[in-house]
Amino acid sequence: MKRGGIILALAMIAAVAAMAIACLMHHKNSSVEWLRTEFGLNAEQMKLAIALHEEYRSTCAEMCKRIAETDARLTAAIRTSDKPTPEIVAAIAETDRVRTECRVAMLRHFYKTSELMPSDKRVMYLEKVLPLVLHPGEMHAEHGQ
Amino acid sequence: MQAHWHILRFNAPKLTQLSGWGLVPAPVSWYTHIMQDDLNNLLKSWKPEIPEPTDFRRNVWLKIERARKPSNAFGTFIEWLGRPKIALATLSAAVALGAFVGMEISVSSQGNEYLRSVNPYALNR
Repeated sequence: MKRGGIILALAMIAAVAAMAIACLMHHKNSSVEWLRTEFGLNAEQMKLAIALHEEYRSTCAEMCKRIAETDARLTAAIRTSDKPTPEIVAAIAETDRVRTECRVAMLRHFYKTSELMPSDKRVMYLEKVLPLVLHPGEMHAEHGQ
Repeated sequence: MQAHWHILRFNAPKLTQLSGWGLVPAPVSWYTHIMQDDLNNLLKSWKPEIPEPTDFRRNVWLKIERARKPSNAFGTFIEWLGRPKIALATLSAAVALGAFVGMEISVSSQGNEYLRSVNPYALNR
């Protein structure tokens, strides 16, 4: 009875230790490695995927900066007025335009990346990433948690 | 022998008192006779409360067996785990399960990280 209890305790400790080690080993990899583990890309495909990802990241950072700038302009315009002036309307239109550009750029990147995958994996990949294009704000809220 | 002396000590004052009043003669043989009767009565009236040796042994072993046996399903399971082969299999399964769960968690978190890295809205906030 006592030995059985010790074995049970050891089993739980071993399971937690194995889980932690597996997490740490995988955590060292970059986020693009997810494409290899989840969609089974080979070395050649991964090289192309990493190149695409790096290229898109600079575009993404630029878009991020533009979104922040247009949002700041709109906020300032709203705070300095007590009614929807033409400047405010223009600022709102500008934020929408920048966001639309971002969504188009994202979609373009996802299609390019999916082309590296076999057809069944391509569908799976698009299923995972397309919600970002459809509801980018909601996806942010989800991932920001 | 000790019980004998106890009876003598207990009855001697009464007898001495009676003989002192001249009501009862007190020869030594009479004392001995009284003492033997009391001892016999006492021994007859005494009933040992210790159980029979066979029952006693049986009950002890029954108690030991009951203490050894696990009381519920969990106890049975724990005892089963103590077997060497089962213990080895359990530990191996625990390591495999832990590694699998760890990899699944890691892949899931990597996926979230990837989605964040390609979302300008997430980078912005």
